[in-house]
Amino acid sequence: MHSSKNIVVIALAVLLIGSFNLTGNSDKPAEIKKYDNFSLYDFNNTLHSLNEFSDKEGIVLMFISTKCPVSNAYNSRMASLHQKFGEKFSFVGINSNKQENVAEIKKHSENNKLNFVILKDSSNVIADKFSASVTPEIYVLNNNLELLYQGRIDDSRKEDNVQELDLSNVLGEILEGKKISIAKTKAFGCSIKRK
Amino acid sequence: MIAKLFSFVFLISSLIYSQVDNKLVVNSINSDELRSIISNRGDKFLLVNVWATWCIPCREEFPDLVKLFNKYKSDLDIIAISVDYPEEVEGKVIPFLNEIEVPFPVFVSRFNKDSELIELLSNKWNGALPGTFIYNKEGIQIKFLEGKQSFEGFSSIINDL
Repeated sequence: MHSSKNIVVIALAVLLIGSFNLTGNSDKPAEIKKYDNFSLYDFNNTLHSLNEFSDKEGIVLMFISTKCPVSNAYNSRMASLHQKFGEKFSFVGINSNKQENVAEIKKHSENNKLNFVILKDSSNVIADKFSASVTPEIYVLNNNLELLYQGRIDDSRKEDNVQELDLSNVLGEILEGKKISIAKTKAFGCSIKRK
Repeated sequence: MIAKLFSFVFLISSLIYSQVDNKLVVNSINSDELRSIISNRGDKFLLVNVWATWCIPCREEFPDLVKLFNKYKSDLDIIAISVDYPEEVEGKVIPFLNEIEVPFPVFVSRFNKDSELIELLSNKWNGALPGTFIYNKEGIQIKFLEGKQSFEGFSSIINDL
């Protein structure tokens, strides 16, 4: 009798210890990466702070280039994503390439219908803060400037070969209040030319 | 043994074929072929350089790879993999290579996706070009270098092997 009680006690203890361990593992929150607010000028010489874009469901920061063929291969896709999600998310382009000036950026934006604010990160300070290394590279932030997604727009430079619409999926999941299924992918592109 | 022989023949044929009739030819490479070259090393180290004609630092680095190969070719194989599109080989890749007389095999990626190439070469690599990966004689990666390197930088690494 005593032995059966002991077995029950031991079994409960094992279950409790086990559940603590399991709880400890599964509930451990993923590390949240939070960025500081920053200010940069756009190609019209207007100063913007990141916080001013925190009035929607989130911010889509896109490190882009006027010259990089990979970034340019995504121009129409970036314009389409902005058209589709621009009411719900703030789209902000950042150009950190040292050899691309504001006049080029403005012309490139107009030619490619990139109808969102594009900031010039002249000394690549912001690229360094985000550890952005290529164009195009995307960072989706919530309104507390916490990182929700980092990586590519989709899985192929050639639009016809795209199978995974990574950025579109992330934005859709945020709008549906779902957990983001893939929070990090590898962006492929041209290295950001730093000073 | 068969795999080693296949890898050796693939590398040699790439080199020979690439210079037939003084006309440079760039073959394509897929995942299996790259794995085979990496894992069947013979008695040399291997340096894999991933580049593109549209990548300015890659173009600047290329002559140093040629110098490196010419200095260390008895101990070191080099292959370069261009991520230009296969249809750009004739118009962009070959004209660039013709300028610098490349003595080692150059391939163009035939991977289904860029991410497959990135994952095969290194988890640490985020895909920024150029990327350089050095393997020992057992086919184990011993060095990953992101961004443009100099001849001196490459030499110092090779001398330490």
